[in-house]
Amino acid sequence: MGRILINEGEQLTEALINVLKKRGFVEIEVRPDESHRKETEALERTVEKRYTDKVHYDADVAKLKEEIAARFHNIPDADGPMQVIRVMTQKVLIDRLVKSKGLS
Amino acid sequence: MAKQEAEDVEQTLEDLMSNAGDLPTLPTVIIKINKMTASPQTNAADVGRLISNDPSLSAKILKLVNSAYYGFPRKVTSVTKAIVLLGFNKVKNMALSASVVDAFKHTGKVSSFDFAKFWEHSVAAGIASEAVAKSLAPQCVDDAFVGGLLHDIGKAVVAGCMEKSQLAFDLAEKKKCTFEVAAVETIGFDHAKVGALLAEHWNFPETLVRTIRYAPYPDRTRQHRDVIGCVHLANVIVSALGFRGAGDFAMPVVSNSIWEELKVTPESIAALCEETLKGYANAAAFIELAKD
Repeated sequence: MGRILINEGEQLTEALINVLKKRGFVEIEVRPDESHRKETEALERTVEKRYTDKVHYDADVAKLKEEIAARFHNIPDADGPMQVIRVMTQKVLIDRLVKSKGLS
Repeated sequence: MAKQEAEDVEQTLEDLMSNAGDLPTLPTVIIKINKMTASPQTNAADVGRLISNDPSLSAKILKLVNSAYYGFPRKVTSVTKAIVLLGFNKVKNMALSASVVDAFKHTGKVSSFDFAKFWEHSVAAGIASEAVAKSLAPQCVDDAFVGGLLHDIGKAVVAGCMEKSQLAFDLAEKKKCTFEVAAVETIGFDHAKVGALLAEHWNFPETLVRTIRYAPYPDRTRQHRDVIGCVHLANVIVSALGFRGAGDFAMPVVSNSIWEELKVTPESIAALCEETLKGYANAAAFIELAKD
């Protein structure tokens, strides 16, 4: 016995901890909230649809995406608001890059 | 934190604040403005006259008012006219910002601290804070720019006056974390605390003191949450756009409660990013102020 998996966002009350202890669990692993990740992926897909054209999606755009991903190295996938900021910042910066290169 | 350690930290802060020789000074006119604006009897004309009597400060204000950022079709030639066009609070905050920027142009005790980059981040944060306020919290639009511009001022103080703060800058780079995390670990306190103490020492308005103190941790206060929230969100946005805060090697994280209170949406984030980049492109006068 030892480890139990619980969903992120669930409240760990004193009573719940006592019940888990009685049942022999000594470690709790938090399962990340998948809904945030799914929402971010859907948002990313909507934004990315704009760049399927090969002409627009050149090396500079890929490099910019890498740079932005590196800036967010400490942000977990399950952090909904931060992932929204990442995706929308990326959208704005790529739009501007594409425009500055005269590709749109 | 152990009791002895906490006492040491308080002592360091006290030493820093009492060592007036090391701390930058503000012009007397700003001290007078801060005192005057605390009094209910003061009116805009009094403050306008006071600023106009300082030619250097007036020139700086007029340079900012006539910059592309404000985009007035005709040249504004007097501080009184600037007050009519922009409002008393904005001009007062402009005077305060110009004087603080002026006071922190020197290079400090931390060799790796880049004051030019520091002001670029600060100006971007000022513009973004104003954009957030205009769109999501219009009641605090007058205080947002100055709050964003000065939110990191404590970093300039520690880099300028505390040799030991080099450890924090080094650790942030090594651990790839934010400056506040590294500062608490190495010197026992963060720049927000130092910045707020300096703002208090300079008699800045209470809203600004609290904004500087709580912008990185908005959930620790219930007061002035609108302006603090705007600056907090703006700092994250500008860091995401590439205007990294001095000594930050990780993204600051937005508070969920601020996100909800401001009712932020993906569309508003995109609009705020656009607004910030557009504003920054027109803000050369603000950047020059730090370089002049």
